[in-house]
Amino acid sequence: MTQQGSGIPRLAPGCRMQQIDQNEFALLIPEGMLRLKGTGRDIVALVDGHRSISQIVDMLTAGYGRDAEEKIRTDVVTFLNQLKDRSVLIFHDEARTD
Amino acid sequence: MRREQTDMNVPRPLSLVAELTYRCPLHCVYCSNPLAMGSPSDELTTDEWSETFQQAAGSGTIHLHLTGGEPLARHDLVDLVAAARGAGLYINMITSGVGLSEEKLSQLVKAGLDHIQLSLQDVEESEANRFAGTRAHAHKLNVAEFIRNSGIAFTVNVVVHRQNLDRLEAMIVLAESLGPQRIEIAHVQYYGWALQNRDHLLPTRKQVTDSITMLKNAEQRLRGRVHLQYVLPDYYAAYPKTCVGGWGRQLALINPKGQVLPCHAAAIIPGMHFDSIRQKPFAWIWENSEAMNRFRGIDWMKEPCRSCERKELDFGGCRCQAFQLSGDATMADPVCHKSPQHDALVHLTDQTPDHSSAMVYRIQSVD
Repeated sequence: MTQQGSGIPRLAPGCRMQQIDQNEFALLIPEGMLRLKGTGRDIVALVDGHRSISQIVDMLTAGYGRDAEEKIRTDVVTFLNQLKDRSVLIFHDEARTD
Repeated sequence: MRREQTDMNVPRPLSLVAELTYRCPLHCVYCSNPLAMGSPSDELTTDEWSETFQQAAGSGTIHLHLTGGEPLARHDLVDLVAAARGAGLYINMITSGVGLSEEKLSQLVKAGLDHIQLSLQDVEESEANRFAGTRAHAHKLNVAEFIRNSGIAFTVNVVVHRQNLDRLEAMIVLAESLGPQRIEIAHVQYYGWALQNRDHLLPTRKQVTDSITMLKNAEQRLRGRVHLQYVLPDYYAAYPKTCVGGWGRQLALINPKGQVLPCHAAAIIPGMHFDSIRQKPFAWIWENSEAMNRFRGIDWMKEPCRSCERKELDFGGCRCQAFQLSGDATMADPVCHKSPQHDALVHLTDQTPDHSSAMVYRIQSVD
């Protein structure tokens, strides 16, 4: 399966982050919610409609070695694509400015 | 939103279904509303609903599903949406689209509506109108266009049963052309009016099997563009559904006159008494009422549920279905292959369709 590793992700309409408890965030989506903890929450927190996937990966991998960076990149791209397949994220081309 | 729960063993009512009214311009033969709907003059007022939304949010509710009847039949719908958003809820509206104008939609979006779920009855107009008991199909297609243009999150819900399942592929193509982010294929659930019409609606085993292949192909084709969701009809499953996430575990339903129920159908179970938010606070009803506690957890179970390894996965399935099909709400859901009534259910699904009687249309009797 080919995965899109480029583009600018943003939350799709009807999807928003909300703090649901003292230590827990959830991504509210039309059919329910995705509870986000740890890395998942860190990744989605960086999705702002401006940062590209590469920029998000760079921010998450800062300070780790090159081997770790490759693995993190794969994980992040996989995770973001899963959310895209569920219509939770939309990817825009990096050339676009809107 | 601060939680004000006292008993930490009681889970949160994450979802609240608000049946704002039983008034509806449609008369669908598979409506999940009860057969006896009571009088529209008993409906909760704008203030009563607004207060209820605040209380529910305080008990930990996240999602609010506005339904009915037709929510748009409430003239105060925009105010209700604003009140729910003010309480911090995520707001989904389940609608036929009848009564929705572009202007009304823009007011609802501005008030904080998060998502719209529009139902389709068929791909063929005459058939769609026949199942709905009114000419609504063409209007729905028109409404879908301005819903899509508004940019709000949009799901098209396609209701399927024996009389239209053979047109599933064309129905998905039609749904896709309306431009939603999600398409939900919803098999009729046999409660309320649908149970009255079950002989006309229950799909054949072959239809269900064929539809699975078709759905898998469609899912693949739509991947990354439209999220296709579907659930198989539970009469054909080996294990029961975890109905409403388990009785009194995730979901509460409030009917138009303010009674709090664990699901759409619970009133059919003999001996149920439902407290009203007109008399008691929502948090008290959720935690302490007899209705919410009657089948909460696993203590009520008898065999084969009691010793089953899945008892905390599906909680014995659906209590209402157990009562409807076995006459005893404490039995295992007959969908389960361990249920003594399971063979009778399988027999039912293998029967030849009976078209001798006419379908019954949903009507709200005025009392």
